[in-house]
Amino acid sequence: MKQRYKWLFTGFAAGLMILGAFILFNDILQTKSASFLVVFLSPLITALFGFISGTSVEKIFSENTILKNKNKDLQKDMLEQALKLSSDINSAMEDLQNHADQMDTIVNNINSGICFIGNDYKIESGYNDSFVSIFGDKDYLGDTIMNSVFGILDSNTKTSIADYLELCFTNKTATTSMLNDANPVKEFEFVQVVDGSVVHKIITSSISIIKNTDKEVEKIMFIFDDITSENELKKELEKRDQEYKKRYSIMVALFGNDKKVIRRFISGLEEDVESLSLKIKALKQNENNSNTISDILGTVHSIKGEAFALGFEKLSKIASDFEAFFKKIKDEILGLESNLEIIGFYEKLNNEKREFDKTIKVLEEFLAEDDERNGSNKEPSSDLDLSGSVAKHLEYENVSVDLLRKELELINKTSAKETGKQAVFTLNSSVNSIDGKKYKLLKELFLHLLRNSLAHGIETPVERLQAGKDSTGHITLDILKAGNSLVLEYTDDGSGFDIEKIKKRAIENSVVSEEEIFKMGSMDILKIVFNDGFSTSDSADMVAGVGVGMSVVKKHVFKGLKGKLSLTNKPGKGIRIIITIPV
Amino acid sequence: MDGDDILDAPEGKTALEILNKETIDLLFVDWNMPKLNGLDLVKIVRKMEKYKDLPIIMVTSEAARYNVLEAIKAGVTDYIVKPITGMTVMEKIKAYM
Repeated sequence: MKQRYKWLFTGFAAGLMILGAFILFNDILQTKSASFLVVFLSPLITALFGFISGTSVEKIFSENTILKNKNKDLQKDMLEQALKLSSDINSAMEDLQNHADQMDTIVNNINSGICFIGNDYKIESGYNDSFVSIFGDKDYLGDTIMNSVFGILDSNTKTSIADYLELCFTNKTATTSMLNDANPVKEFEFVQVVDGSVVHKIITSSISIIKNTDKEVEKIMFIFDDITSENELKKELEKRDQEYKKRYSIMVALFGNDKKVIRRFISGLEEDVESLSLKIKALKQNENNSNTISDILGTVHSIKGEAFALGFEKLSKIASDFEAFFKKIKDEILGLESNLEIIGFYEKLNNEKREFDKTIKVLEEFLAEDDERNGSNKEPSSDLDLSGSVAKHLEYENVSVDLLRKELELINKTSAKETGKQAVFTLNSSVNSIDGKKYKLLKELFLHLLRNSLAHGIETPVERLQAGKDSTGHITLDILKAGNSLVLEYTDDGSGFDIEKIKKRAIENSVVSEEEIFKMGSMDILKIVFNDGFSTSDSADMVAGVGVGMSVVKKHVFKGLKGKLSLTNKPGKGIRIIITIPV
Repeated sequence: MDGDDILDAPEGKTALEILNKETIDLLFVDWNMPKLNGLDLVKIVRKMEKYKDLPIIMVTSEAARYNVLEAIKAGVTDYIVKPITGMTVMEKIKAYM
């Protein structure tokens, strides 16, 4: 509409211009009527003309605009549609790509090597990264699985694989699990050359059947797993298991499957090590040197003997070296009282102690593993835990006499073997158990008596036969409860104490003078045997000979057990020792 | 299937007669049977048009791969290794029916 007025206005303006021109040329025309007509009509006519023409032009223009607009809208719509379509396609493609990427990630993140084969046995595209890492980096596409994966296998196996694959492609009845059971290469070896060296791999394989819509087998998916390292680990574990079994069988042979003996030894050893460290501390502070050293020697001597009897050779050897070493210190100290060099010896002693600790740890580990192996409920719980507190806990438990019998029999056996003598040890008891606190002392005490009997008392089989005795020696221990006392009677049928030998040694070692010895009765002479450090043996060995054993017996009886000891010596026939301790 | 009918045969030949006369949905076969053994029975059954897709479960005491392969070739669908229990049998029945 606006357009129309524009044309009207334009027409009117054009009329005015004609009117203006007419006024300008009025003088020229000089005709009044004509001038009037022109003056009034010309703007009107031109306005009318302008209006009419303006309207039609406007009409043409407006139609054109509508058309244009329509066109524009259409274009816009189309563009929008096209854009939408393309974005749809884009997002669909993205989705697809994402999906494909995801699938790739999943397939490649599977540790199993995966490949697909068609019925020509050729490997199709889509084998994953793991497949490449198992069988080597190369292009497998179009290669047959028989050449690339099963290439190095022998011809028989290859034939059965070919048969099997044929079966997988043709069979329509069997389940996949059944087919997998029939797989001839469930586990096979793959040999590869990597950087010039040959690598053997143990691979497992399984299959999955992929059927088409006609239920015909189209592809077979092979799933491979590299179990080389697992296999090695398994082998290693089996090897270790066997080693343990071997070690265990030795233990079983030694203890008749009774781990209590070892456990008690360990808990005793813990106590010993603890007391050793206390004594060493005391030694550093220069308190009662000679007494402390005797104590240390007694403890170490017990460890040596027991460890040897139980078959812990390494521990026994450490204890033996330690003992020899300390014996040396002791002699020097007795002579020199204080010696600066002793500081160096302490260090050595500490190191030895640490060795003990290590050995204890190994033993504990072994026992713990052994328990795991056998299921831990066979033993009472207090015996399983070998921490320090348990060692103390054990003290308050009564210990069966059977255990003492077992341990002493064992000590008898190993000592007899070591000395080349024969002896039977018999223990008779009217009590079934012994107070845990006394047990360790009693065990140690009889350990030393037993070992001394075998080292000095019992003769060799030949000597015994010559003396008109049984070739096998007899050692007995009778335990009786009499009132408030426990009476322990120990006998052996050996040669008894050799008074002359003791005399000789006592003079050699300046324990007593020759004059004094002369005045002494045989009973007094026998007391020398119980002196600290006295030995009739010329050399120390695993069984006896450093002069510690009998002093330990004396110490344990009088100090530890607050008991009494009486000794009967029958030269050539044996000894009898009666120990009486309060219950 | 009319209820849960169980037809049993003491050996292969009797089984074949029953299979001919009736139409069954699931077949358990013992490998070792007198006269006609399990494997041969399966081979014959598979050739019968009505039993083309019949689930056949072999009961065997030998789980050796060689036997499995033979069983697959004969047309066995699945197998159970002796000693069999009610549980394993029920599992198979559920899986195939």
